[in-house]
Amino acid sequence: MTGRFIPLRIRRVLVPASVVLGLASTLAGCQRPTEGLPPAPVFVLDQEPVPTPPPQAWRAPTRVAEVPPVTDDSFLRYSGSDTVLFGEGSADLDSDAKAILLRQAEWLARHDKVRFVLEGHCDDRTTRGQAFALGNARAQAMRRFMQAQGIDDDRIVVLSLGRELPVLAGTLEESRRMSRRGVTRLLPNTDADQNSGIFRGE
Amino acid sequence: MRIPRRFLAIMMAFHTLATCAAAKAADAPLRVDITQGKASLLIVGVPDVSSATIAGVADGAAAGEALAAVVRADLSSTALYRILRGKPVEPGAPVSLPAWQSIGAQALVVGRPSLTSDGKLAYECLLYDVFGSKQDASRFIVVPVNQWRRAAHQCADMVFEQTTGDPGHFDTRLLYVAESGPRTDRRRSIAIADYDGAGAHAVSGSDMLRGMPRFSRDARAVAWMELANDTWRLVLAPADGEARLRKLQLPEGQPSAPRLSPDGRRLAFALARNGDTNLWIFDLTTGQARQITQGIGIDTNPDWSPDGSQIVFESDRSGQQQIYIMASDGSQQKRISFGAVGHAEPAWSPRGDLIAFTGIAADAIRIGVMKTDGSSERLLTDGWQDEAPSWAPSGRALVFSRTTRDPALPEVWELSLPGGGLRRVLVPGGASQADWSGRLP
Repeated sequence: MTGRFIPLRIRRVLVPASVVLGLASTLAGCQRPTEGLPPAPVFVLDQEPVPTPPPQAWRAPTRVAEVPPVTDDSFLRYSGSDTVLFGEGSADLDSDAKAILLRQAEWLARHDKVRFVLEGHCDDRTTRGQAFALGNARAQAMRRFMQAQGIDDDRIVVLSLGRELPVLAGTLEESRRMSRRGVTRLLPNTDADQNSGIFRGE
Repeated sequence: MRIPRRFLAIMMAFHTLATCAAAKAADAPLRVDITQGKASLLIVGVPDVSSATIAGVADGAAAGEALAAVVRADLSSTALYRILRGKPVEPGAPVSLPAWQSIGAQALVVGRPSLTSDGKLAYECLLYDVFGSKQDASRFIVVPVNQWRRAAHQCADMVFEQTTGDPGHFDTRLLYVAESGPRTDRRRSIAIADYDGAGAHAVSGSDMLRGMPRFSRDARAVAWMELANDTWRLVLAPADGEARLRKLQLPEGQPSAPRLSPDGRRLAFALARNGDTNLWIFDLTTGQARQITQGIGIDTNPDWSPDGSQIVFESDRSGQQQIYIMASDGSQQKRISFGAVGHAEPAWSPRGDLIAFTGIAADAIRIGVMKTDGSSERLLTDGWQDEAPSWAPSGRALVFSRTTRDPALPEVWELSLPGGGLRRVLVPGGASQADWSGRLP
């Protein structure tokens, strides 16, 4: 079964943040590194010292999960958001986070063949090793919550992405705040029959 | 005019911080002088040496000039020397020390390149004491032609060693993460370059997330973490890319921060499971893994003492990231950093005397050093976000990652400790998480 898989979006915060994100995309388009555009990746795989290696063709970025996610309109519509936010240095779920995760868990209970990844992320002002560990703590907190809602642990993949994939928003503080997040990403299901229900948008 | 005998051994002030063994007697008159912590630069002439072009050296530029340029750059980076270029030296012509003395040089470095009978580059590196009117030291260096820069680096090492009493760090490499693209969608690959940024080349693809790369002590092997199919793993690969990558079979959980032991037999790493992160040791020969720290909180970023008997690491068990030392079996854990600032990413100097770290304050993240008992702490850099220090094998320089408020690519910078020389390591594109190799075999 093929179709266009649309990556999950943070719909819950789209409306109040739409201006911020619009500004951010404008800023991202015209951001200038301090010394002009950095050169394209120029690494060559031989061992010769190369003073000016030839530039390498730019490849379109791919998401962390190489397999495109399952179409998740139904999941997102029901849950309101695939993302919860955490406080600085914290892996605690506040009431907003629990409300979102509860909706997610309800949907996941009804589509009980769907497996999913819980991603824990940090802001990039956290040192790298600490960020991998804190991301794990955040993802584990979400996992415990899901388990408490009766979700089978076999369906859950816990993944810390540390500070490797930060969110860029209008200001530094806003970027950091939105980077401290947990994301629920559905995994494609090999059972086509199970998928079809999702695609029809139950 | 002779050099006054009062010249102190190099880095006397630095030695008191580092509690080195007593400084060597200043037999050799050529010495960099540090009084009251500020270096009095040694004035050294490093002229171009006219020579024929040698095929394979510096893309056809005059070999003697290209090599001298590398020597000058190496010595300059330490901020301990004032370099005079002077007039080029002709091949076969004797060196005129009075001429150099008249322009104020205290020392003179002349490197004469030639081709050996079996097609290698020979580099005769000579150090003269100008005032003493004599040759102070020499080194005859032979390298494959395509590694011509190493000849210059080894010449600079010899000069540094003669004039400071410490080994040089110029014939070394950096292992790092090459970064490109916008901050929200970075492409990363593991790469290696000479310590000065020359010869940068990838040793992995950029198809998946990778990070925290580390050399083995002999720089022959590298370890890093990479993400495949939503699973992090640690891999070991040869630095020259000839043989296959080895994926390590580790206990369940998410590994990070790999660090090879000095004897190359063990790998220390952090393992996250059930919300806690603790330190483990993996035996590379038996394939057995053993947990060495326990308890709640995050223990990460292990680094080995030079003799491999101890491990320094970072833990937030006290409520804030701080630095601890323990025996390599996990016993005798002892906190060594205190104060309001957080301390992370400890790196044990190859000299054994200092721990470098990332100091975390509310408004700035900076590199610092402290003694192994936690005393004599001081911050060394003043960037907005300076982190992840790694020592040169000499223990006299550090590289670290620097990012600015501007969402530009991160950079690797080098700090040369006694002289305070600070410069960016010029590799193409962005760079972070650099690990400085040991002396190359």
